[in-house]
Amino acid sequence: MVLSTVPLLFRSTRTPLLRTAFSPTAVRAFSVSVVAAAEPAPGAYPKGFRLPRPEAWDEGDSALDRAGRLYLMTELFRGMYVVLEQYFRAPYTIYYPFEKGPISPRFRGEHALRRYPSGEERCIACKLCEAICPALAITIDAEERIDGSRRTTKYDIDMTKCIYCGLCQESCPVDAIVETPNVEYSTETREELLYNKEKLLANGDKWEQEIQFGLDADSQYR
Amino acid sequence: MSSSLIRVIRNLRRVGIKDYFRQMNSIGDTKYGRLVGVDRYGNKFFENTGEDEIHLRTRWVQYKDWYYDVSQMEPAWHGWLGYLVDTPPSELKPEQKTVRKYPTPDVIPNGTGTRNAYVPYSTVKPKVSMWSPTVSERTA
Repeated sequence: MVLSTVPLLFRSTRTPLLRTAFSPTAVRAFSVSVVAAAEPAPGAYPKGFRLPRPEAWDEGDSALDRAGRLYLMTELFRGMYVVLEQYFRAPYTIYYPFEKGPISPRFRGEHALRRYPSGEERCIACKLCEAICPALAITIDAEERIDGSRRTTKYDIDMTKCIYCGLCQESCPVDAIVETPNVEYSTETREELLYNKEKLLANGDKWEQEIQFGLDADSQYR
Repeated sequence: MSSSLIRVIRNLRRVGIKDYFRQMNSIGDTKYGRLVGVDRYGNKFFENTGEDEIHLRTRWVQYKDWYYDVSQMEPAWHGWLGYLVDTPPSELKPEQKTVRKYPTPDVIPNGTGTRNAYVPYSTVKPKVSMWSPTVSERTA
């Protein structure tokens, strides 16, 4: 019947209705939808998480009930009440520079060239990343070093060309070129996005710990 | 629950008047939490996993500088703030830390628009040289 919706609006009369406005208990007393805690019990779905099976045409209320609901617009008012109660809730937005959204361990952001713990650079100038780069953003030059090892003399990435597909770090046999979880490297000029080898190595030194976080979290799936 | 007056007054009593104004001028809300650590730059990182905060608002940073920037954060703390790890970098075990045999740089903030900005340059000698024409003597 139509009246069956009314108790839903003013449900939960366990607590007195006159309490301090906006207190969590007051918000809960007038709420028809769930307020989720920041960290619910692990492994437990919140109450009402699974929706029940929708009713078929021959189940549920009678035609008179449905007509009453239609002409008295009760569903409309119930919807408006749900909107109203959001007004008294905390916003669901996060304030970015102070709080951050979750970062995936596989996040592909700004590039970095890594070094071995001894300080020797990893890149051996095999040019696989240069070959696979679909945007042709990488330029490599190699030369023999004084000690006879093969290393790059030029490793440039044009960050304005890069499409952040991650193929360079997938192709790298020595895990030298990686994409860090960093996205906060915006620049005022285009030229500052033409990274050379020194800049990429400096990035690697700076971000090594966080690169390691991502590698540790992802290692069991590789 | 940032809309509750009770919460604002309660957290004001907890954090003190100085941090209250600091928070209202930056994060726009009074938040109280456990001080998890301070990074090398001097930013303070807080956490409150109680019912007081909604999902993904449980970790936050109080920047050292008035003109704050995300690049001022130390990278490992940046990962902690982004929920990449649950162990804060100050509580990492020695084998989890990346130890280097060379001095690693301190926090380098994004210097764009300042004199600290990165300037691209070539790391190799140019392969082509300019053609300098020489005129030979005319012979009659």
